[in-house]
Amino acid sequence: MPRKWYVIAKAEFFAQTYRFRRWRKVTGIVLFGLAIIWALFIAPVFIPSVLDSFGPGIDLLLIGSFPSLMRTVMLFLWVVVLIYPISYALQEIQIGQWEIMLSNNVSTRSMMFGSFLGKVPSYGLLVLFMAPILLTPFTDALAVSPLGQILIYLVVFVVALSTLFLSTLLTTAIQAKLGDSTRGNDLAKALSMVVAVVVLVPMYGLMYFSEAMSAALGMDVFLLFPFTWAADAISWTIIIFNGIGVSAGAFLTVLKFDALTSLSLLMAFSGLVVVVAFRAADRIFSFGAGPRTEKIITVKGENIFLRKMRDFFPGPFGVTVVTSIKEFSRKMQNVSRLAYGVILSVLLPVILSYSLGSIPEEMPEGVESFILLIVVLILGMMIAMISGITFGGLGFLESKDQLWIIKSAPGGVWKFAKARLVQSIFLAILIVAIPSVFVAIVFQFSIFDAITVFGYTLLVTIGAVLICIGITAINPTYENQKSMSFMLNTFASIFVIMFLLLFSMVTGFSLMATVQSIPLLLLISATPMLAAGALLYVVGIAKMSMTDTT
Amino acid sequence: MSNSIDIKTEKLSKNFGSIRALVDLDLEVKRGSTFGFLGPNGAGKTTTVRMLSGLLRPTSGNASVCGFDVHTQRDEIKAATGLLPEAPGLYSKLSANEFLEFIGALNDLHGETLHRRIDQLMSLMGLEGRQNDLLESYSSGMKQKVLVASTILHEPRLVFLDEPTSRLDPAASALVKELILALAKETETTFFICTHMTDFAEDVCGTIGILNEGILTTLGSPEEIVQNIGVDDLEEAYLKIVGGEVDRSRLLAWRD
Repeated sequence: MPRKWYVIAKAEFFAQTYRFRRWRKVTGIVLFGLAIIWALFIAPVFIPSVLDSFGPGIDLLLIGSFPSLMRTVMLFLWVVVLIYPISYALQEIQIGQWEIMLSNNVSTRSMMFGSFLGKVPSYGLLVLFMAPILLTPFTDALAVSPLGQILIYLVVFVVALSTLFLSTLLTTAIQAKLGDSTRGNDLAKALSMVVAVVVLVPMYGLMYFSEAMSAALGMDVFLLFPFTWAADAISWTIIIFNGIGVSAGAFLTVLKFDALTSLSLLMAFSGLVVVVAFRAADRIFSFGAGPRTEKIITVKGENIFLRKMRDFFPGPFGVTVVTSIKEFSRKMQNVSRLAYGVILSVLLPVILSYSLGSIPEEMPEGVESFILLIVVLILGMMIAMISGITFGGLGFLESKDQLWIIKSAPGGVWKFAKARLVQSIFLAILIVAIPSVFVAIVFQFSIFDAITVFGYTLLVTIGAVLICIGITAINPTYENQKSMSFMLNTFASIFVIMFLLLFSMVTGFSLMATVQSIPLLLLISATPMLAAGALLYVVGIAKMSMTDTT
Repeated sequence: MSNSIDIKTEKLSKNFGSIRALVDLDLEVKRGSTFGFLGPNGAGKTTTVRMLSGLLRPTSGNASVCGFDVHTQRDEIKAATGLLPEAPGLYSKLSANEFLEFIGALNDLHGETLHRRIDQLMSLMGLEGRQNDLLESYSSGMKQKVLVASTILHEPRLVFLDEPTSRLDPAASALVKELILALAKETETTFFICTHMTDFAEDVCGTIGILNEGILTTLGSPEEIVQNIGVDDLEEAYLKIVGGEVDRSRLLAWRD
């Protein structure tokens, strides 16, 4: 008879790979085969040749500061294996099956271990593809022997497994805490966006500030973090097994713990995660309260903004706009997604300003306008894409059942879509204003330039919202973020927005010689987005309002 | 009850690919009457309601609802009717008051009249203490009550109710039953009710149609149906017609 944890792991694996259910075995063999070929044969040849094309500087950097850089790399890997599964699992709370398992006399430890084991193949595959990309530069630059490389990958294997176990523990605890309710699901989706930001910070760090970040990670305080122990264990392995004569002496200021201590701490941490998970299993796999004892939120009177909105739009239209604003802004997932967009668009100018720091003070004529244009376009792109997908995609319609209700009113879909659009425009003003002000401060723009940045970003954001509403209306996905339709819509929305923005950018640059006024140039650049958006919006809503045939 | 006809269908049919969801439905429902549409899951009841309420295009045949054609006058039908869908599509982040205000606005209602009507309906449904709470905290029965209120909010001439009592407790079910009877009697509102509950249909509906695999097999008053089939009550008649009788010899056979 199969062990219960094995049955749970199998079910978890089946649920994760349902898209390949007909070719599960073949797909598995092919993917793992490819991953092994990639890790053993392709990556060791391909990655060094790419690095060589950048010149000898990269090798010197890797040799000179590999212990600090390794901490950055391991932080990234740790965050991906820890945060990504949490973020993915929080897209949809699924605790309904717990009741079935518990009623079938399955121990909570079996549930915990089975859930973890079911995730191992997919995340194992991810690590198998990713680890060579992250580690080959070091093993190549420092000529690490094959035995050394095997040991390095063993450490990565232990880190990946223990981190995945930790992420299973955290995911389960969060899901149990939030509960399988509408509110719980909303909070979970919001949280999944928050944790996504945690992934982005080390990613941006690796991309733009690797030097500064490595210096920061070299500080003693990071000796308290498990990724540091793993990174240090790998660094010691490199020191012991390198082929270019690098010794520990130069790195002792960073590598405060010796090899054995780092390895012991890592193993102890891994063991501790398992012990804590098993001990806490009974408490974690518990159910929240039913509807009578769930937290009840009672709405208070409307704020001045909503009251003014009713005055501004009297009659039924005003009611639909106000209702739309309330419904949208009360969903934590919408708020967190927009906050994510604002954080990204505030981060980007900082990075850009850092990158442009080397430009001399006495800039040649035209450089200032060029910087303004680039900043505006980048800001427009970020805000437009995230706002478009949030307002027009996810936040547009909750369910098919809701659509039936809307459609059962005469002209209901047009009334609803108009209200959603007006709601999106009003909220977009706020979303666009924050990064515009920030950019103006960072780049010390004049008031006029700041208004130009704000105006352009708002126009392209409205265009993007129209595009996304149109695409969603043509192929409604509601709030199912795991469906193929949702992925298709998101991909199509991003593609259309990117294409139109790049097209506008090229047009804008080509017009720079003839049109001297930057605001006019930006207005011209925003037109394709607005025009295409309006067209898609009309087509989409017309299609959505049509009488169904299926 | 007047003699005018609110629903008239002629050979109304709907196919989904090779599946024949509704086959040549011929039906007349009088104004102010309460019609019960019975049938097992997948019989075609919801499909019929969606076609009659202007949400789904028929494959063939004709129908008029409140005097409007289902092919060409769908917006007029929507203005004259109310629909309680099978599954509740409520906005979780709105309160009951806000949701009803939204539905009212979609039907071009606003202002004092709308708010007074919402208050009265909430009070009637026994939700007056909870009307400002977000709908996410409502039980399924409470949500169903809000949906019933949203269906009659704009005083439609004809109301389609798709499984109106499936999520309600007995007390709420009795309330909905009385509401239907009162509205039909006092305001000549016509009700077209899809349900599985034979006892509910027997109590409320003057005429009953039984649909099986897309075909209307039986039509008449509950008493006529019971008498014609030669059984004691509507449930037995229903089981005889749709073939849901239990074969007791097989009940424990799976254990062998």
